[in-house]
Amino acid sequence: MKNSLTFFIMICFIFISCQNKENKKVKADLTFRSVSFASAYGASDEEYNNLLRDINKSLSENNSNDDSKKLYQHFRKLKKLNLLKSPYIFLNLGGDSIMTVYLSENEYNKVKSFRQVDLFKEHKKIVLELDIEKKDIGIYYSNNIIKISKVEGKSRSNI
Amino acid sequence: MLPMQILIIYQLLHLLQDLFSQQILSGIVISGFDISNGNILGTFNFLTTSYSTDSEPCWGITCGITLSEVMISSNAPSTSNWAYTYYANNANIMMNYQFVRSANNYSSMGIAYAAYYNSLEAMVYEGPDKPITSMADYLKCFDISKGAQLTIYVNQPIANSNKAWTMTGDKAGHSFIGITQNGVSRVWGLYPETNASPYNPNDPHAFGNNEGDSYDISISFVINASALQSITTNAINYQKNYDLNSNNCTDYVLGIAGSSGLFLPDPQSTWPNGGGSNPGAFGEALRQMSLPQETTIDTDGGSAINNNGNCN
Repeated sequence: MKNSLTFFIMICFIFISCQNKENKKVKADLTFRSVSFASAYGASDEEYNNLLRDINKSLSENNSNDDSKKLYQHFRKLKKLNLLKSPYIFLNLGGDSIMTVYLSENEYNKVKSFRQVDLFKEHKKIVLELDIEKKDIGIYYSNNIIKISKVEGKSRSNI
Repeated sequence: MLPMQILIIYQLLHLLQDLFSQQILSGIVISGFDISNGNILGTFNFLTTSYSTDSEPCWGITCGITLSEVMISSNAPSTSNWAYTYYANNANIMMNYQFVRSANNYSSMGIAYAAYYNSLEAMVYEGPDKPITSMADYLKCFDISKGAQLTIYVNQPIANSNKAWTMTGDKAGHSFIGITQNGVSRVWGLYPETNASPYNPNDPHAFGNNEGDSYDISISFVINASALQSITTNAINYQKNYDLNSNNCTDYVLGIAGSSGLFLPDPQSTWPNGGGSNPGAFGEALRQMSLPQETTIDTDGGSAINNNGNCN
């Protein structure tokens, strides 16, 4: 009985540890990048289908250049995770650490109106608190922006 | 267990606790990682200076740390300099471990991670960290009845490469201009106001202050008063939208040069779902072109001039 209880506690501990590792509550500054291509958000159906075709074609060819291959490998991973058409934002986690976070459309609507030029004029920045789920290495997703605060500070871009 | 080892394990536990929680990476660097396409091929123990590609014999901290969640700080922990010193003497190991900086490499582990993390940032170009809120104010110090020197700066995604974009770029690409006149100087470039992507290429424009920004190649020439007036009036009254394919930062500087009488090469490249002028191809074309009279070219790169002169 004692051994069973110990085993149960260990399993619970491992389960909780794993849960904590993959899902975190994060507080970070919203940051901006002018030109990015982290998903096919905004693509029409035709453009999206063309992209899927290009992904398959590129990854089946040996002569694709490295950058195309890396991009399409990344996109193939996003497609498997159902994120290829998702909007995304950039978070500044301090110093020069920038995280790309994919969002649900609903959550994106909460932050898409913020413009760096406006924040710059106002000497403000946006601080987000959100639940982030790690989907894969370097791929993070949030379906819950808990809090949005506009505070004094410099809104960073392109660190 | 030796006190030193206990201390290091404590620091590692503390570091692990901080992972993914916006904490600064701190403590002594213990392990280096040989990373390829996100896979850790081997680990290097800084304490024993032993390298291992066998994942089985190691356990605990000697197996290394999963790097994908390390947050990197630009603040140098003062305790890890010895690790950098050790590797600085071995170029092969430095390459294996993706040491991408040659100076101030205070966090070897973080830098190795940074090289991989950077590769996941799909086609990112920089925007203005300092947006210009009024071009009229920004340019008002110039005397438009006189000539000036115009410099076109090109920061390529990869220096000396015509690549339009990269997944593993050492830096982002941008084309921008600087004008100097009797001690007054201003530097700026064109950006989208919010964000542009291959699937959303068009956006209202914004100008950004690019003083002091790095570049790979620049070309300078003297413009007359008429050209200076044209450039400043155009910038102040600029109405065109930014368009990633047809009116991006490189298109803007090509237009400025053309309006000043200097017609520069404009090679086109493609990217997913589009294509057009770009800093990579433009920079390489500048390197290879025959230099027009009364122009000077700098192919060594460096930092653009800083803004100077205040007429308020």
